[in-house]
Amino acid sequence: MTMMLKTTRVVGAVLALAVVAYALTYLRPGMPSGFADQLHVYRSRQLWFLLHIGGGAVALALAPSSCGRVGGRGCRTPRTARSCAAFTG
Amino acid sequence: MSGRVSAVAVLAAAAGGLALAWTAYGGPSNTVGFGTLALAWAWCVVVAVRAARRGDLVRHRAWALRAAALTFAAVTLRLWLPVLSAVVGFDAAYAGIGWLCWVPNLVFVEWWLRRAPAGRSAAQHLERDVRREPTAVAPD
Repeated sequence: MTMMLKTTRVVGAVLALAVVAYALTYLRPGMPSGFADQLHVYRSRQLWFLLHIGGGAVALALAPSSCGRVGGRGCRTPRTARSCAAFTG
Repeated sequence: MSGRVSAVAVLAAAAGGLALAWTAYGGPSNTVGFGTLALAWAWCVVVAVRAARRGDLVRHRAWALRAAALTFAAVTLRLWLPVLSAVVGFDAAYAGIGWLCWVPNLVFVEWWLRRAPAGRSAAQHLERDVRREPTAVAPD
């Protein structure tokens, strides 16, 4: 199977899942209660919430400087080349 | 170094995201959407790290780009939400945001990796870069 076909199938499956899940949200009786209630849920799961927000913030801050940077410079700069050498070596 | 820190951060954030997805506001749509995002995010990073450890930097860069696109979901969520809320209302907008925040990002990166400016795809472009400068990845 070609990569393009694989990608198309994955994207198709994800979109189908999204449509079904979105439809189920409206088929089930009663929408969720107000968004303010969600904050109580987050407070009751503080550890997971902090892990998610903290990890996400670090990942977001570092994404542009990691090896896979958009533009393809990545390991070509001296500083990131040393980092990649240490990583792959 | 930033790649390693980034990978650990993503895995931690994905674990948190998966745990929070079960209680996501917006119902099953967001539970499945955010849950799938968390799994896909972790998967992209794991594949990128494994590729880097094998020295396959072309594959590493492609998967790191996919991971970066999913990381950017935090930003696109906050861009989509006010726009959609103005059109369909907050609840309807939020119910679909679990998907809208990351699927278009991923589709864009897939297009970017496969686009062929002047007959050359981005993936081929990355491969050429690695081949041109083999000393850049040699161990110290």
